[in-house]
This record gives sequence, C-alpha cells and structure tokens, in this order.
Amino acid sequence: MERELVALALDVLEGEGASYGDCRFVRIEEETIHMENGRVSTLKRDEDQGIGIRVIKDGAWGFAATSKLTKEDVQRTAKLAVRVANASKRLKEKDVVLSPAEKVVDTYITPIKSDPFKIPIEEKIALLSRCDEIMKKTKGVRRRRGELYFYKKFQIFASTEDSLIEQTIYHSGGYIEAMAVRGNITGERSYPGMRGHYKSAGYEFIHSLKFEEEAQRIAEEAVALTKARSCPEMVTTVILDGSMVAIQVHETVGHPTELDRVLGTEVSLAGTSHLTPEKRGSFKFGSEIVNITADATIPGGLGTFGYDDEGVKASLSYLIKGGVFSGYLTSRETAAVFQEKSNGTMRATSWAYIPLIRMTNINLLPQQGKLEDLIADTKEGIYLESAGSPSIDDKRLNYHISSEIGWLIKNGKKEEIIRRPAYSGISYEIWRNCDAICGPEEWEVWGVPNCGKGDPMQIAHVGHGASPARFRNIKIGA
Amino acid sequence: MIDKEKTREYLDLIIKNSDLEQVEGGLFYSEKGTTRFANSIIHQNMVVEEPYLWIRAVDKKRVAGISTKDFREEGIREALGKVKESIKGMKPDKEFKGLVKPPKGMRIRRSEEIEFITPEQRGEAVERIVKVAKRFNLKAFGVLHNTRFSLGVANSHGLFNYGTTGVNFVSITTMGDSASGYAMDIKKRFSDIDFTQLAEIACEKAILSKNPREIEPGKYTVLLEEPAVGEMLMFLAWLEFGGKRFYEKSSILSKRIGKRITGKNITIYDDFSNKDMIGLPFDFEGYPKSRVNFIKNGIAKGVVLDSFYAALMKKKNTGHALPQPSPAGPMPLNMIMEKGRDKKEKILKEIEKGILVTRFWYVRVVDPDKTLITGMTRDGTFFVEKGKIAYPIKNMRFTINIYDTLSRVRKISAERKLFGEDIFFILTPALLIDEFNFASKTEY
Repeated sequence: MERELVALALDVLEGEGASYGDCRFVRIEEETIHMENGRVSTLKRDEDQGIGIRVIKDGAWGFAATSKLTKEDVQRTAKLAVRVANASKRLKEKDVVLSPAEKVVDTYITPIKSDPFKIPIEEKIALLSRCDEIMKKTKGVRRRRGELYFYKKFQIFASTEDSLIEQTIYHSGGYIEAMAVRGNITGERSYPGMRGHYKSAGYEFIHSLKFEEEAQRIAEEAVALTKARSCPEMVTTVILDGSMVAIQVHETVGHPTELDRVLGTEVSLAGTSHLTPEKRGSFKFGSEIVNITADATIPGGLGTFGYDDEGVKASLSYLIKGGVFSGYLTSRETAAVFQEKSNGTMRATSWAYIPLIRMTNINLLPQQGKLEDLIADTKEGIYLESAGSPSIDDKRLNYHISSEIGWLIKNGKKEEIIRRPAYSGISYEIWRNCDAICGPEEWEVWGVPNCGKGDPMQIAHVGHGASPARFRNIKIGA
Repeated sequence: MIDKEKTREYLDLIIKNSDLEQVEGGLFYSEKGTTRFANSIIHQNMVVEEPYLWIRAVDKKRVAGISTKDFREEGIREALGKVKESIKGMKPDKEFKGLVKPPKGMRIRRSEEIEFITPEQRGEAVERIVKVAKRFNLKAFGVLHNTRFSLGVANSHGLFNYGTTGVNFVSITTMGDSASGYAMDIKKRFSDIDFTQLAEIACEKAILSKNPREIEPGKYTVLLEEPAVGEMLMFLAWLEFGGKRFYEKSSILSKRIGKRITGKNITIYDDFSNKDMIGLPFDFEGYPKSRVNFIKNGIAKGVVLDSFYAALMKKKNTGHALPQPSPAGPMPLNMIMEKGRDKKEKILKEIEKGILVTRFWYVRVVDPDKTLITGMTRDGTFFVEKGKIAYPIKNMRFTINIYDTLSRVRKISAERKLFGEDIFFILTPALLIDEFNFASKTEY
C-alpha cells in the first residue's frame, strides 16, 4: 500500500508540472527503557509513520508532509507541496539545479544478528536491574541510571527520476550512569563513551558492551570525583579517549564541512563555517597525521546506510587529507554549485522534515600504538575520558569541551583524578597540535544519536570512528 | 487542528478499549508552516501536519507507554495490546501512586480560534524583510514558523482537558562583509509582528557591526538584550526549577529554599496566563497549571511539579508534567522574569564602559553544581563608552555562574520579549550586569 501511495504522490507532482519530485514513506519504531534507582521510570514505544513530499516547480522548492495515509490525503499533500513551491518562487534569483544522480532500484537492510524488538522486555529490564544492583553497592552513590534504546526505520524513497529504494535500518545502544553526592558537590560517571554508545546493529551490540563489568568501576569513579579537585588552569598536553576525539571531530570537522552551512543556508540557526571554498585543497587544518573521512559504508556506524534521502549511494570521501582541508559533505543541490556530484549525505529525521546535509560517519583514521603506550610516552599532561558538553562559535572556531573525568599525567603515568575538566581553543590549532593518534586496535565507531541541526530542529544519528589521540599546548580549566 | 469533540472521540477509544487498571490518552496535534530564507531567497518552504497520540497504561503499579500515528480503532487496539505486553515484563513501581485524578471544579477553558497562515502570507512577510535588507545593501537570512496546536488529555479517572494555541516565530539575521545583525520576535498573532521594523533593527545592527575590533577577555559590565537573557534563564529552567533535581537534592535551589539566592531585584516565576505569554492552561497529564514562584525578590521559593513528584514530595501538583512516561521530570514551560522600570535606551546611557550583547549561541553547562555555563556571543556585540555604542567587537566566549550573575544585576529593562519555541517560552527583560566574565575570544 505504501508503494502505491508514494507512486500516487509522484503522479500528482508530475501532473502539476513539477520538474523534479521525490517522496519518502517512513515508518520509525523506537523503544526506550530508562531505569532510575532500580525503578523503570520510562518504558515507551514510539511508532511513527508518514509521507514527506519534496518538489521543484518553476525552479523553486516546496515540501509538505502528512501522517494521514489515505489516497485523498496523499494527493492533497502533494498538491500542497506544489502550492508551497509556487510561494517559494516569489523570492528566487535562479532556478534550483541538482547535480546528476543515477537511477537506482535497490533495497538495503542493516545486517543484524538479533532483532532488538524481539528481545523480551523482561530480559532488557533484568540487564538494567543487575547493573543497578552493582552500582547501588558503592557507598556515596545517590542516583543510578541505565537506559537501552532501539530504533528501526523502514523507508521507501521514490523520485520522478524513476529511483525506487527501500531501506530498513536498525540502531541499538544505551548507557549506565552513577551520580554520587558529597555536600554540595556531585560526581557523575557514565559508561560507555559520551553518556552512551550506539551502533547500527541489533541486540548483539548490547551484549558486547558488557555493562555489568563496568558498573562497579563507574560507581567508584563517581564517588572519587566528589573528592577530587577541580581542573587546574594551565596549558598542557591533552590525551583524549576515543569518545572525546569523536566529539572533537564532530564539532570541529563534521559541522564546518557541511556545504549547506558554508553556502549560508543554516545562518539563521547553526551559523556558517570558517572552511570557505577558497581554502579547499590548501588550508593547513591539522598536522600531517590527521586524515578525516566521511564514510557511510563502514559497518556499525550510526551514519551507515545504503542510500541517502536523495537516493544517492553511500560513499567514502576525504574531508581532511594529510592535514589539509580537502572536501565537503554535499547534497545534489550544493554539489551542483561546484559542478560536482553529491557524496550522499542528505538525511531527514523523519517523514515530517526536509532532508539536510548531515554527517554520516566522520572518521579520524588510525595511526599506530595503544593508549597505554601513548600515556607512558607523555611526561606531563592530562588524560580526559567521556565527553561532557561541547560549545563552539557559529563559524566553528572557538570551542570549549568538557569531560566527565580527567587524570593528570606525570612521567607517563595516570595519577590524580580531576573533577569536571574542560579544554578550549581554536579548532584548527588543536588539530595542528595533534602529534599522535592510536592505532586500529583502539579504533571504534562511536555513535552520536542526538546531533541537532536545521530549523525546525532535526535530530540525526551520526557516527565517528576514532581512536585516542594526543594534542600539545592545549588550554585546560573550567 | 483537531477540535475538542473529535479529540475526545479518539481519547475515548483508548479508554473504551483498555482492560488495564488505569489508562491515559493524549493527542497533541500541530500544523506547522515554515519558510526559511538565506542569501535573500527562500530555500526551504514547508507545511507539516503532525499528530502525536500517546497512551500510558497502568496495571498493578506497572507503567508503560506507547505512541502511534494509527488513529483507527483497530490501530488503537493494537497499540494497547503492545503496551499490555510491555507491562507484563515489568515489576511493580512502588513509587508510582497512579494516574492523576481531576481536581474538584476543574473546567475546560474556552479554546481559541487560531488562524492558519498560508505559504503565500509567509512569502509576503519574507519579501518585506528582503526589501529592507536590500535597502541596506545586506543579505537576509532567517526563518518564519507559524504553528497552531491542539492538545487533549483524558484518563480513566474521568479527567478530560483540551486546549489550543498558536505561535508565530520570526528570526532575522542580516549579513554583509564582516558584519551580522539579528532581530527576532514571537507572537500569538501573525499580524502583531512588524516584519519591516524587525528587519530594520537587524540591518542597523549589521551596519554597526562592520569591521569589529578585538578586545581582551575579562570582566565587563554588560547589557544583555532579551534573547541573551532568555538563553541564560533557559538553563535555570532545566537545572533548577524542575521538581526532579529538587527532589534528588542535586540542584542549588533545593538547599536554599527561603534563603537569598540572587540579587533582591530578581523575581522569576511560571505563569501561562500572562497576557504576553503563549501557553496552555494545563499540562500533559491534563492537570490545570498553577502559577509557581521560583525566586521572589532574590529569595528561593519553589519548583514546578507533576503528579508523580507532587506525590513523592507530598506537595500540591502544580500541573507541569511533560508527555508521559518520561525520565525528564516536570518542567516550567511559561517562565517570566519580572520587568524593571527603565527603557533599554536609558539603561544604555548609564554605561560608562561596557559591552552590549545581542544574543548568545551554543550555551552549555560546564558544572551543574555551580550553575556554571559557557557560550559565545553572536550577531552584534558592541563596546559601549559613555552611554553610546562606541564600536563593534569580535565575538567572545563567556563562562559564568548564573546565580552569581543574577546577584550582580544593576538594572532591569521595562521592555520584555518572548524567547523560546514551540511549547517552551520565557518572557524576559534585558539586564545590565556588572563583572560578567568573558573567558576567551574568537577570530570574527
């Protein structure tokens, strides 16, 4: 039935004289189980479905969307999209041009071993309960949390260029967290990564996280943080764990290489970018060991898919090569500005939103060595684990990123624990000061399930392959 | 929009088809038109109608929820079947006291007629903005959102509530070489927004902000305009004014009730009924909202609650639940800061040396124990000398403790503006603040 509705929408668009149109039927199922202090405070399933219709008429864009899935409502919505395009054309300078894309008829399914929606609720709650019991044993812990999250998206994409693509994508993940309180001071620790780890995977990923093995450690670290001193203000060497490198990549490489930002279409909310077109191919963004790719093809990434929401095949491209700024994340419309083809990064949060350029998996390629060797090789500095909150200016230059925990390093050893550490600086300077990146054995594709962009705000699931890395001469402190 | 009768019909289907002890149904319907413009052209233009129908079911103190887009009776039955299946796998929640009962004498307020704004009307408004920008030789960027909502909530205790509201939001950024300016407005009625005047404000700021100078970070007197104050207060809503962190004793307010927490000139409360506020008279459990004081004349007073936290804390439910079930806890959605006596223009004249901040950007919490936040200035930051804007300055990063900052407020403006989006709003004045900490600078 959904295929028929999608085809009906395209018929209406063609009948109304559209030069291009695409239609996405999207069905999203989500399951969230959230436990706090042993009680399931949230057990929720969200089932969302609808149709989003995008059209170019007389060189201008229109979009309309509905969750009413009758033939009449789809026809009405397609006509509304055309009406919206007609309203857009009163303020256009030239016609929208799309870069060419191949006609595709295909299907894509995330390879999973265990469907997370078929695992009994009891099993999921029991896992969180076991972690809760372990964290509860540590004196001083006031609040324990655990959450599991599962996502399944089925999408039919069809366009007036005769593409027809069906995709089924699964995401799974979660976290556990302990908060300790001592007087007016709280200490919070979570596992894994940056308050959670998510992958394009099934329930097998939950098993691989081994939450129970880490629960006691994070509870003890939360208590230790309430007794730790605040981060001293100084300029020093910083080693970031893989999840923090992922956030550094996200904020200072992923967002500023989105070509829609560069061309000004996100000014009103997210801002622009310092990585302007004349810098491409020549601007020294990082040290020579810094190689960063956009890769929607790697297994397990939250930005892994078969085709983007314009029907462009998932691909790999370089954003930073040998430290030099080399490329952008593009769409069919933005790539056409430079007479290029899209590298397939257009995604919408659901049927109700217009696709935007979104990060896929933005990966810092590994070099060599283990984290323990990197710390041993560092005479003085700080090691930071688990990202807290990032902040960055609207051209993506001045950043400030906090973490849950830090350890001062002295003579190659982790020593004193530091509470709520943060580091800050100018985005290309930190990458120019990168002198070591750990190897493939430490490399992990971290999932960020809450990347915000657009207006209305769209939340995207994106990935970042990263291993721990070292940066010299970095300002730390609150 | 879905009217009261139709909303009731859908929610009754939930209650009728449930065989569990207690059940709650809610229907939030939004019809949103958005026009985004950049480089003085419209580049995204859309109309989206989106219903959100949710069910929260309770059986033997086990609580689970589901949302669906399938409004047919069989679709609702299927959703109820799934939620029942979820409940089977749960253990009783001893802290959950049951769904909220309708308070005595509860009445449904008369719903407002909310106008539908067409794509053509939005297009005309953008044309007016672009026309002004062209006059100043600048490019216009921004967004117009026109949304109308209806919300209905019913439960098996006989509670039913229904309401409607509308929001018109405009944000304008104008840009030229090394310059940007900003203006925004939020109104219930589209016709109450003066697009030409707003565009002129944004353009004048952009012209003034050309060729910004770099100044050293440090502590400065600042005049924060309303959007900047709104951004700061939003973090108090999240960190301090909700019942959950209060109950956990992880907020500062939870340890300071009845004591001084800010300067005497600060009063902040939640009140949906203020004539300049946009809000519904009840929460997502259908319970009527009460006015709640957070800070009165600098003294810590209280927090908002929903039925769960009211029962836990043995206090009166203030009607501030978010859609349930949710781990977030109750939140204020209609925050108001008391205004002062002087116009912004007069306050500016009192600044011997200081900085005028138009807006903040990417503000985040650094340390919740201290209400320590960091963020950037954006789209119009100016150095003020002897009561006048002296020159534009490059943007800077601030890192401040919110309560300490609110203890150093010298003046509060008589003008107030709404800040926020969708269902969360803050009615805020501009503030003149001493010793505001700028920690670092950026390149533009």
